[in-house]
This record gives sequence, C-alpha cells and structure tokens, in this order.
Amino acid sequence: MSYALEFENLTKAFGEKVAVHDLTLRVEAGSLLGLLGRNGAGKSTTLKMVTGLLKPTSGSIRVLGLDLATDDLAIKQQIGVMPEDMALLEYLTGPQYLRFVGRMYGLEDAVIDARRDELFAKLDLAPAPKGLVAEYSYGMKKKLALCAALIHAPRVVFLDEPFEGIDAVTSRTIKDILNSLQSRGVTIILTSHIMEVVEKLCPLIAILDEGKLLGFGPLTELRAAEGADNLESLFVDLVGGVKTGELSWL
Amino acid sequence: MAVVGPVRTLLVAHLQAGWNRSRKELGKSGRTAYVITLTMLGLFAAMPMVGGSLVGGYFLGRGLPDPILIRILGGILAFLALLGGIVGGLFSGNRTLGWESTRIFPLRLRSLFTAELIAGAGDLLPLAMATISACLLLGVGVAKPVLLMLLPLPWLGTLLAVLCIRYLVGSLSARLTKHLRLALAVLAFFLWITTTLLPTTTRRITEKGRSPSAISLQVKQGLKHLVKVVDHLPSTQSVRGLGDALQGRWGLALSRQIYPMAMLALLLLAAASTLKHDSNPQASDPVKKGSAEKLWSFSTPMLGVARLQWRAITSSHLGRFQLLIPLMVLVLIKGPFASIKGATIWTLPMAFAYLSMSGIQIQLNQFGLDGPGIKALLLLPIRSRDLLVGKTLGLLGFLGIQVALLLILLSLVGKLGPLQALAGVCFSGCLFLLQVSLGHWTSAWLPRPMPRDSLKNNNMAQPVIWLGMAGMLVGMLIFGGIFLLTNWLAPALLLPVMALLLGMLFLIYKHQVLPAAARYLDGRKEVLVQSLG
Ligand SMILES: Nc1ncnc2c1ncn2[C@@H]1O[C@H](COP(=O)(O)OP(=O)(O)OP(=O)(O)O)[C@@H](O)[C@H]1O
Ligand SMILES: [Mg+2]
Repeated sequence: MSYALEFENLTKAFGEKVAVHDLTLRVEAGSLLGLLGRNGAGKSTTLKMVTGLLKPTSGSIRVLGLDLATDDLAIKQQIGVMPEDMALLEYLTGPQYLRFVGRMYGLEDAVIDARRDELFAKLDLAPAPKGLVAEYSYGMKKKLALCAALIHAPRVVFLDEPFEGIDAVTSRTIKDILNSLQSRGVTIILTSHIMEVVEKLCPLIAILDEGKLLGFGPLTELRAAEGADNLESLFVDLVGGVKTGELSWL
Repeated sequence: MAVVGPVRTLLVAHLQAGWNRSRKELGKSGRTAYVITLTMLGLFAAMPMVGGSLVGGYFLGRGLPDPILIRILGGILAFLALLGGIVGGLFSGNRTLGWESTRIFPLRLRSLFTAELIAGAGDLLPLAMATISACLLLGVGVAKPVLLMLLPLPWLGTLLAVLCIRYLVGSLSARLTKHLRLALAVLAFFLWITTTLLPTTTRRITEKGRSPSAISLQVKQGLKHLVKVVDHLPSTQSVRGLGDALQGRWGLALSRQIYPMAMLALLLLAAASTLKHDSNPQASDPVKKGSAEKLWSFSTPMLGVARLQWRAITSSHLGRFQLLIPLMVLVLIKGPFASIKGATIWTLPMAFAYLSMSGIQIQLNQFGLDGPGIKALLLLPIRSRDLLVGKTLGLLGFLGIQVALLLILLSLVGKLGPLQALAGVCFSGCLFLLQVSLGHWTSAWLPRPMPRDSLKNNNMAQPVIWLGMAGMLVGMLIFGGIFLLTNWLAPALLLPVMALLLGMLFLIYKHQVLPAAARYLDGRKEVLVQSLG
C-alpha cells in the first residue's frame, strides 16, 4: 500500500512553545482523515507545515512519496489547500481569483472557467457574486477557498476547518463532494470541531493534544478500544479537561 | 489555447488587485480628482523631467567621445541607479507582490523573482528613474543616431540595477529591523569608527587648510578622487563603449560592455539569492518579543489609545526600523555631509526634517497598524476626538524617543548647543503637527492595513503618497525656511521664534483641526472597518 502522507518525528517550536511534538504518522492513499484536537492542539500548525507555509523545526514530511524538503514544487502541484485563514487575495473578484489560482497550477483559461462554473453551481455561488472577495461573507469566502483548493484536481487535499461557518445545505454539498473525491482515490485530510460531521464523514481519525498524537486509527477500532459509544465521548475521554461549575457573578 | 505562465499570472493579479482596490477606495468623484491631480503633476513634474533629460542627453550626446562628458553621463546613470534603488528600498520595503497568499502554489523562484522585478518597476521611484534614464539616452541617440542600436544596453543596465538595489536595500532593512539589537550595535560601531577616524583627518586638513590656495588644493584632490571613482563605475564603462563605437571601434565598444554586464549579473544573483532566503517560510516568523508583557493601566480612554498606538509602533517592523533613523542621520552628518562646505547651517534642520519624514507612513495611516483590531477599538465607548488625540499622543511619544536619541547622539559628537537643540526640537514639533493633522484626514479617507511583521508598506494609497509628499515639501519650505532665515539673520531669536511657531500651530491644531477631523472621522468609521477588517 502506498502512503499519501508520512510524518517522521515532526516537530515545530515557536521559541519556547512546542506546537507540534515528535509527530509520526502514516496515511494511506485514498484515506479520508479527520484531524481532531482542542483549540491550540497544533492542527493548523501541522497542516501549515505539510503545505509549506511553515518550516518544521525538525523531522521530515513526505507527500505522495516525495520529500517536502527537496520536492516542494512537485508536491504543491498535486495538493489542494484551504488554510485556516483562507489566504485569499481579497482585492480580486472571485472569478479573477480562480483565474489566478488556475493559471498558477498551469491550467488553460478555458479549463479554469469551465471548472469554475461547475464548482460555483454546485456550491451555490452561481451566478458568480459581484464585487471583490473582501466584500464576500465569511461562508462565501470559505466556498471560494474550497473552489481554489479543488480547481486543479489535486491528489491530496488539506482542509482546515471546512465546515465551520458554513450553512447546513452547503455543508451537505461539501460532504458529497469529499465523498466522491475519496471514491476516486483522492486523499483528504481535514480538521473540524464538529464531531457529528467527522463521525459520519471520516473513517480514519487522528487526535492531537498539546502537539502530541493521542490516538490514530479507524474510528471503529478507536471507539472499541476506549469503549466509547460515539466520537464525542471518545474525544472527551482521550483529551479530558471538561470544566464544571458555575460562574461566580452570574 | 495556451497555458498562461506564472509570471504573467502574478502580474495580472497584481494589476487587477491594484485597479480594483483604487476603484473601490476612491469612488467616482475621487477618481476624477485623482486623475486631475496626476495630470497636473505630470505637467509640472514629469514634463520638465522628460524634457530636461531629453535636452540634457542631446547636448551630452553631441559632444560625446569627449572623456569628461563620458564621465558625466556615466556618473548620472550610476547616480540614478543608486538613488532609485536605495531610497526606493528604504521607503517601500522589499516586496511589491504579496507572497503570503502564493506560498501554497507550485511557484518557481525564477518566476517569483522575475515578477517581483517587473512589478517593482511600476513603483514610483524606479519608474521615474527608468523614464529619466530612457530620455537621457534617447537624447544621446538623437544627437548620434549611430548609437541607437547600443543604447538599450546602458538603459537596461540602469533599470535592472535600480530594481536589484531596491530589492537588496529593502530586504537588508527588513532584516536589520528583525535583529534590532544587532543592527544598533553594527551602526554604533560604524559610528564609532567614523567619529574616531574622521575627526583626525578633517582636523589635519583644517589645521593647515586655512589659506584659500590650500582650500582649492583640497577641492582639487577631492575632485580627483571623485573622477577615479566615476571612472570605475560600470555605467561609465558602458558609456565609454558608446564613445568607442562613435570612433568606429565596434569590437572595443562591445567588449567594454562585458564589465557592466558582469556586475549586473552579480547584482541579479545577489538579489535572487536574497529573495530565495526571503521567500523561505522561516523568514516570516514573527519578531521575538523581549520581556514578558506587563498589564497596562491608564487613566482615560485617550491614554489607552495612545498606549495602544505606541505599542503598535514599537512592535512593528516599520517602527523598529525608524528607531535606526537617528543613527543613520548621524552617520550621514558625520560622513558625506561633513566634508561639504557650509553644511553646518542646514545640517541641523535637515536632520530633524529627515527624522520627521521617516514617520510619515504611520502618521498618514494612523489606523493602519491596528488592522482588523480597529473593529475592537471602534466597539469601545471612545469619542472620535479622544481617539485622534490618543493616536497623536502615541505618535508623539515615539517621535520623542527618536528625537531624544538624535539629540544624545548629536551632543556626543559635539555638534550641538542647547539653544539650537531646543530650536530643532520645536522644528520637529511643527513638522509633526502638520503631518499628523494631514494624517487625521488621510487615515480616515483611505485607510490601508499595515502588516506589523514586515517593512512592506508600499501599499499606501497613491493619492496619500502624493498628498504626503506635498505636505512634507510645504512644511519643510515654510518651517525650514523660517528656521534658516532666523538662524542667519538673528541667531539669538531662533529659539523664541521656533517656540512661537510651534505654539501657534498647537493652538490651530487644538481648536481648528481636531474638532473638524473628529467630525470627519465620525462619518468614516464604516470605511475604516471595511478597509482594515
Ligand atoms: N506563529 C506562532 N507563533 C507562536 N505560537 C504559535 C504560532 N502559531 C501557532 N502557535 C501556537 O501553537 C499552538 C498550536 O496552534 P494551532 O494553530 O496549530 O492550533 P489548532 O489546533 O489549529 O487550534 P484551533 O482549533 O484553535 O484552530 C498554539 O498554542 C499556538 O499558540
Ligand atoms: Mg486551527
């Protein structure tokens, strides 16, 4: 079996703060992995390292068998990314932005436009919204970022919180899109705080806490091992730290 | 249909974004006003520039194989390249294109570099330098049509040199600010060298150099030095090749271009490898903070805003860079300017003026460093007037530090009497009030977010740049003029006059500017949130 993603002792430190600590992980091609963790667990940091937005302090990353340190261009050509803050060019219009992204991946204009129309129709963005990306609503920006991540038919897709801030209908559409991508052998790694979505969507789960891997494997196996009947209780059991009690002044 | 290359893609997106943004910001009437302003500027600044260079080039070209004229032309070209590169780099930082959002794409360094250079050529200074050198050389070509074929070489050389130097200087200053302590140490060392070595040499000259003949000897020696330097400039070699071509020695003419080409290649290589380093993700890691944060306490919202602004400036790369300016001023005064005759009269106002100028980006875009944080600020119960005063106080505090640094440095090297120093401080204060007043409007009119973690702040709105330059010029002419005139006619009155001027300006600021600016700001809050958020 070939791996789409391999981390070997991956570590990222910001000064004193170690955001990702000695992470070793292998994800088979065609998986749909849900990366879970509390706020500040290191999920976004991990994704940023894989996508070349941050440089690891130590350790190595391989994507589709290629080493990120030496083959970053070849890797970037084959991955699609939706970063945490979306990183859109806010002063372009939506279509201008997708043209930009598509050309960056070496697509022909006609191809870009055709795919854009299809994506926009599917994500309920048609007719293309007037105005600059800066004027889009939060959810619209997210949809556009998703279009940008998919337009070049990537083989591995990294999505940082794709379901947060998205309406229920679009959420369903995105799930459909991800499922059909997976059925065609695309590897997907996503983060989310919405346990119900992850539970239904992701057969494979990884749980990070304070930069360390707490659990990794098929959801069913993890649940059986911990004796939890759903993902939420599995997550809370593993991570712990639920605070109870009332606020003193309310 | 063919695939569009990455360089063109980057540039197209850059232009589209710039165009969209100015359309959005200016609105229709603003656009008309802007076009009119630009046309006027074109007529009054660009036309003389173009005409002057054409005529100058024509006359230089007519006498061309003359070795003195060769040196002059070569010197001018090198001067243009250095001026455009250094000043452009200092003021606009290193990058023209926003790279942050392109990191996830498979982008070759070569494409990024090419696009960056081309986009940089669209910036104000490089554009001006390219135009001037083109007109100059075109003038030469009109005078000596034989040369037309060769002329693109020195022109391209000048243009590329401007762009590379601009990039290198911008990147260097970005790095200096990142390692502020190191930069201060290096500059201080440099200063120590110049102060300990230079005085001895200048004293030696002045001791024996009282008589007029000695002075002219000195001037002659200086000129000889200059000629030697100019002779070795790549641009001079390139122009010398033109002279050879005129005399029919084409082989020699072409071989003369090898040296400038090699130098240019070196420059390109240096800039490219710097860019490679800059585009490394590690390079954008945030500035390390010094000590642990203390919790703030302040008595009024106004002081809170001041504190916030102060903090924003001192924690931004731009602000940290500006702390280096007093040292640079001193290096300039001790170094190049010390040897100019009669320089002492105007060095003082120049030093303070330069210092005040350096803050202009933040002063004209007072909310820029707040970025999306402006929303938090506007949600709080603060009156517009207090907001503005807070901003002014924060800026003033920062200027105070800069002025104090400059004064300490100047007194260390013995350039300064207490009266002059105070007068200089008043002069800075006048310029500051003028710029901050102007800034109250421009900041609310065309706000732009300013990144704290980079010097790349050349995304100031074009009209604001023009307005700022005009304001600065007016201020320097009026206040600087008063300073110099008083210093010349009645030195004893210098301090009272400057203090009076400052007092008047303060009253105008308090009673006229502030209320009006606060009213304007009241109506622009929405724009602030939209442009910065
Ligand atoms: N640029 C940075 N400088 C310093 N520390 C950072 C930086 N980026 C992230 N961190 C720290 O690294 C840790 C992990 O952050 P990260 O953004 O990866 O969390 P996350 O799992 O994505 O959280 P969330 O669910 O809130 O998005 C946090 O403690 C954060 O404070
Ligand atoms: Mg995150």
